[in-house]
Amino acid sequence: MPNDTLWQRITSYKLFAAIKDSDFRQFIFRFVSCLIVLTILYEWYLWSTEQQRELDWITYKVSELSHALAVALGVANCEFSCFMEGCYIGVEGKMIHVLEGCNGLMLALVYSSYIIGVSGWKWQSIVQVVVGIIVIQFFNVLRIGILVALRDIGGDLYFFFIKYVFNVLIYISILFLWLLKPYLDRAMYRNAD
Amino acid sequence: MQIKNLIACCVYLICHLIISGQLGILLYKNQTRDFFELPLELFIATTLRVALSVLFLRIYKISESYIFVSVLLALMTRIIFHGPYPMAILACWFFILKRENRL
Repeated sequence: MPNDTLWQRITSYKLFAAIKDSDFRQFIFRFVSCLIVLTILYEWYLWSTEQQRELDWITYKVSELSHALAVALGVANCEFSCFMEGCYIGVEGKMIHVLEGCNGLMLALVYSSYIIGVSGWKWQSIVQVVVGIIVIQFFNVLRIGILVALRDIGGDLYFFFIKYVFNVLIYISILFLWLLKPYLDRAMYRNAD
Repeated sequence: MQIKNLIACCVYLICHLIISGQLGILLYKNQTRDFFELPLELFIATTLRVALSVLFLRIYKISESYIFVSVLLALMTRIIFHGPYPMAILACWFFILKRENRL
């Protein structure tokens, strides 16, 4: 195959045959490009807050709201303190350490990449990304708030919830957001027309 | 979305989380947060998680080529972008099933 380009040679391998599928190729390309753009923005944001020797605003707000939820759930003497490496929430001796990795943003970035991967960079996609991030953060605050309450109660229930129940719930909530996407698209396109 | 697909998703996620949880326990026992301090355990856990995702996609009769690209994407999401591995697998799974009206 002397006239074949490198691309043709790659796609001629059986394992790379999926790349010949233009829909799937576009989806993967948009997914990865969105992930790259959003990760660069997020890393830049983290770097700039680190330069100011502060904790990032998102982790702070997630922790603050989780603390408020834990108090609303009846956790007595629930304390809240933040440092550069993260926040501590809960009762003395049973505190939960909320790190930057717990703020749910990486999950939100992958959710957003799917939305952009399917529809591209359109204003409708951006609206869905923003709404989705708010929903994911709602579940994240709910997760941390309930974990603080479970930690206060004690026992093995806390470990079971932190390891399985909340992770599965948050992933399934994202699946439902993806399921809603065509309906939201239809509603927004109708309004735009 | 059919109930059986939702259940399959939950089973896949729980199996994935069990493997990750075991690795987490090993890290805790060794008093570290760095995966690379336990390279053999990390290799075994990664192999198991990849095998699990391949099995999950294979059950839906998704062709090898799509599975290969999906796993590559998920590994990239995890290693380069520090994102969740199963979410990238589910994104590909969702995209493929949705357009074939099998969801």
